[in-house]
Amino acid sequence: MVKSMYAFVREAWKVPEKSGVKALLWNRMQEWRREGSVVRLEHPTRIDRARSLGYKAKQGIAVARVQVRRGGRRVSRYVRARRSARMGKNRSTAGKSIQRIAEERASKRFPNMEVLNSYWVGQDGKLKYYEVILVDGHHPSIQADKNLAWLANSTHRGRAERGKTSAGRKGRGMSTRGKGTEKTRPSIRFPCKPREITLSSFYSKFTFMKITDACVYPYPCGDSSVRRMALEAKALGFDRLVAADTPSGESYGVEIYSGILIRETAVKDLASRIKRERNNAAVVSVQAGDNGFNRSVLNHKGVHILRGLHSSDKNAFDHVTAKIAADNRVAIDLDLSPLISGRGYSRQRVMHRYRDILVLERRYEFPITISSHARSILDMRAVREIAGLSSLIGMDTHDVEMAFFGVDIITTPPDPAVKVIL
Amino acid sequence: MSTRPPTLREKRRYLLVHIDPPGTIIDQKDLHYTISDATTFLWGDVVAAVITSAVVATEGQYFIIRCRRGTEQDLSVALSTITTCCGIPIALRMVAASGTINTLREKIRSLKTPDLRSNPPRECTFDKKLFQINQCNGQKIDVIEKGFKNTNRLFLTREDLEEL
Repeated sequence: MVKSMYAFVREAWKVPEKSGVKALLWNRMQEWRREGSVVRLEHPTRIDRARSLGYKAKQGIAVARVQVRRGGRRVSRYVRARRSARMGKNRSTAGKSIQRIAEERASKRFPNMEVLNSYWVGQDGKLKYYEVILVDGHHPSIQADKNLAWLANSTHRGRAERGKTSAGRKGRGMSTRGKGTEKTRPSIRFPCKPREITLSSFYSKFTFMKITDACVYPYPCGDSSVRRMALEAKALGFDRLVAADTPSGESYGVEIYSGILIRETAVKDLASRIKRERNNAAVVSVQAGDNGFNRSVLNHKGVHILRGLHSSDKNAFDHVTAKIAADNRVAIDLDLSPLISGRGYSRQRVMHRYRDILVLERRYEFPITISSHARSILDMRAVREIAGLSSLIGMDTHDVEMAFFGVDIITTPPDPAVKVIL
Repeated sequence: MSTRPPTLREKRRYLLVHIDPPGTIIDQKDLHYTISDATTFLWGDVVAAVITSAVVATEGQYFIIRCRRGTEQDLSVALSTITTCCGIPIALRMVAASGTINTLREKIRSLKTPDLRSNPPRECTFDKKLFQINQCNGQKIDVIEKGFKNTNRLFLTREDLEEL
């Protein structure tokens, strides 16, 4: 096969000593070192290399030769009880290659252009010379070029400065992947991303627990069917819903627990009502009342959740009721709907009440549940949004996670205090 | 006024939000005022001035909201307190956050388009009442009760309609 002209040029530059390129360079150096630091050229010196790196002889593409000093960085002498070798003056090198410095200088000189690539063209005792290929991405001829039009995209702005050129990628350790690159990926400055404690990472530790919205009201109480709520809950990141007056089941991968809400009942009627509902295997919640009522409710076996404390009396939940709730594993529900739809003083009051409940929770460690009390899919909020709303009342990520798993905690039977091992 | 150099410019972030229910037509300016009100009610004037939210673009059901960098979390909490806009019940679902509008526009394009291949009939019966189908997106079907009074909007699924 007949060799192309480029092949001869390539071979000549591979071994400059034998091919006469060295002698050519000796003459060129004398001219180049007298020229400026960044000089625009009519044609690339190494046409084969330039074309392999994307150069084309057309409008919108320019080549510049850049000279950069050779050697490492200069550091001042540290003259404090060191021998000369340990003064730290010598062998201090930059983390950036000279070629990258050349690309950056060319990029700075031609502000309307982006650096495509660069290659070595010579060096003497003091300086190294690189030719940098620059492209104006917004030039009509480049816009019409399907191989180069991408340079106009703003995501490729500042390629040289951000180390996105070939020399830059090499210097950042991006030329290889896999074993040995543990400290270079995703970036040389961030060898591994600091792991955020997210709900999902926490949740992976408790795979048996499910993120639960502790109360929703599907049709006919609300305007959305339970299936539609389940569909929406799945999209919002929930695994389970406690749906009021709805049979238990599963829909679109979301578990549905039947929920019973007992409200406005006298204490004497409560026992019979709870007894009746206990056989239905439903999550039984009772609307909070005054302090005496709440105490008797928390002492009833079969009550899972005490709801609506935000709208009850100020003294309805004190340290004694908190202790009873912790002893009997009855959860206190935090209804987020007044935080979402409330405004002004009413919302401030609810926030204050919830903060007060959380103070007692930290002391007595009773279970907490979070519910949206959604009557429509429009009232439902994503897990992330609920975490954000909960932060308004001083709940951190761990508190929110435990509140999401609150229904699991109250429905799972407690471990026996004494285990009999046969 | 000359443009400031990049280092002196205000750093911004853009949030992509989706409006529920589908088919709701909301004016960009109305949404801006709603967001501004919600932010002010929740965080007060001082933080709202720091957030400096603005609705910068809209594409169908998607809106791009601008805020100052670092205040995305505060704004998203404020967005989750929005329940109505000009009397229309809505919910804003945050989809993504980015430093550029362009990325969010690409995100909108990459999001799944509604499955409208098998449209159900225009009318249906649910709970012995006649409904007109308003929107249909995959499994989700939004219906409006037929009649002059109490024409409620219901959010159902295909299964709900097939069962009856």
